[in-house]
Amino acid sequence: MKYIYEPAYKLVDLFHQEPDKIFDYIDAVFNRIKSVESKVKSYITLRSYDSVLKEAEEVVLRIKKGEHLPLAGILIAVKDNISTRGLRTTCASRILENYVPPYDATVIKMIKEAGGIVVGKTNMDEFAMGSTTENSAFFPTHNPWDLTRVPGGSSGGSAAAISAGETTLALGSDTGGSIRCPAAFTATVGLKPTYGLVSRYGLIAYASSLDQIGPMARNVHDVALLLSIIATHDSLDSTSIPRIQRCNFLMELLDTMKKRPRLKIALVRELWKGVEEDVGKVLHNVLDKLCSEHMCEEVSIPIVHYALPAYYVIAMAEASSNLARYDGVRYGLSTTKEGRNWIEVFSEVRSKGFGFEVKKRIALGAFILSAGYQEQYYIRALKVRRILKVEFDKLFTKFDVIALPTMPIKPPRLGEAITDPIKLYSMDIDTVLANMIGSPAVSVPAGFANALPVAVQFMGKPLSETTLLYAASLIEEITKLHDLKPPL
Amino acid sequence: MASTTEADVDVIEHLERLALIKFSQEERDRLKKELRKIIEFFDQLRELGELKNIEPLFHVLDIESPLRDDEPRRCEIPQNELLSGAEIEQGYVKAPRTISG
Repeated sequence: MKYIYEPAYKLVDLFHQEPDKIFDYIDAVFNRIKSVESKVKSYITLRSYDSVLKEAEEVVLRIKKGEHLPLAGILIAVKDNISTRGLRTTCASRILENYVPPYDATVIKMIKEAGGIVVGKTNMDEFAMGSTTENSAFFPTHNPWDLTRVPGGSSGGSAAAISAGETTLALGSDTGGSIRCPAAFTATVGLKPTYGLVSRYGLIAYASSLDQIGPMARNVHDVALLLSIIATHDSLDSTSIPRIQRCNFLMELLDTMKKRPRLKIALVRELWKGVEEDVGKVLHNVLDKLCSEHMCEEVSIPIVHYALPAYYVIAMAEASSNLARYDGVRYGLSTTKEGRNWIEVFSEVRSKGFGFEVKKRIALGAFILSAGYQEQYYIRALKVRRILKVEFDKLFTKFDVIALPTMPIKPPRLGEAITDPIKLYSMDIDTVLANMIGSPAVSVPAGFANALPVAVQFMGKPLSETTLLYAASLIEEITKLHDLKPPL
Repeated sequence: MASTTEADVDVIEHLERLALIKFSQEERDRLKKELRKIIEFFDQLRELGELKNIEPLFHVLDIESPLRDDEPRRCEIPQNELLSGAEIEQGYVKAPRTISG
């Protein structure tokens, strides 16, 4: 078990002192994958040991030449909707089953420059549409804490891989909670950055005004480390925030931990509705301790009730136009075109290539945007989004962070949640808000209910990542729950 | 719901036309059950009334779409890699007919 559950920030120091230890570390992780992957099924595509080793040799050489590499030799699992040059990127969809991107996403480029090594591409809900990873066109992923349960989604493969010790760090993407939900269900840490902080160039789009790539790890320090590498302005993404300077979030976090400022924490009553009793108990227990040293206050924002339907309207509308690019002409699944018209070919490719949930969301999105319904649903949802933004901007003038559950429930059993769409969508009630208003949010383990992971979430104003990481670290101090190893 | 009503069939066919997607019979049965629930879920938004003086928020960032200078740059990706799934004929990408006849 040596190396496998070691935090990345410690390994990086070790590898700068003894670079050849990187090879032992890679051996250890690959052995771990060999022994647990058949149970967990985190990866859609795993890189070969030899190709990873070859890349490690280059990293070792760079260190020996005196380069300082902030991710020296660290293995990183990447959600399969982030483009990796020469490495199959499927989005867990038949339509991209054999798609090999000719370029790296900006985040992958940055990870490679920092000496990180991509170990494989992780399972997810098809096109990131789902909260359980059961919507993968290939197979479901299992929760390492209880193999009969889902790991959450849509970045379920990334979360399961970290939790099972099959990687040290991971990248996920979050449109309505897809990083935070699986982090919560696997007792790992996941952060959705401020909209525009991390480049989306090379991220296969679901709902562009909501999507963000973010870091996932087994502890808050490692999340800060990976965020430092990927967060910067990118001219290839027109929604990248201009003039964002590189920031060492890990250093900033350590500084803040030393100063220990007193936080003003809001608890929004409406965000605690529908929380399972034993989940609520764990959360209140942890937050009571946090609130004994920091200022906590309960507030009410009734419009929050409408965030979830408004989110799904916007997400489906954007999905229907984003996914129109899969036409079977330039890349991805195709079919015979000779003598057939465009509508026939287009419909056939999409019907064969997309799974039910994706087709449903595209169809509903097209409906929402169609004449006669656009005002009623789409425009109205965008107005709710405006009200939410104004209300929360106001709240953040008085408070540093909001504390809320990440998931109101414990991880469901496989097959349990997927049958009722509203039940499934309702799981996202506490996560969609951050995407709707562009705020950063982090999920951190709070404890266990009935031996299943429960997590607390912090949300802050745009670009308040350091404050969120600080709040999450305070929770780690209280619970001592970090770098957790499930009983696999 | 015992069987697929005509209205359900109409709605599903309308969606298929709008989205250029075909649902299998099994998918249609499932969709029929879910559609009503999802639309009801969306209809909660109507409880809010007209929301007359509120501007829709399309995007959370207050930035204008930045434009790069219009200068030619070399594409670093070879064309055959970029169009890995395409049929190429005389340097053009072959696509299905867009007009009938």
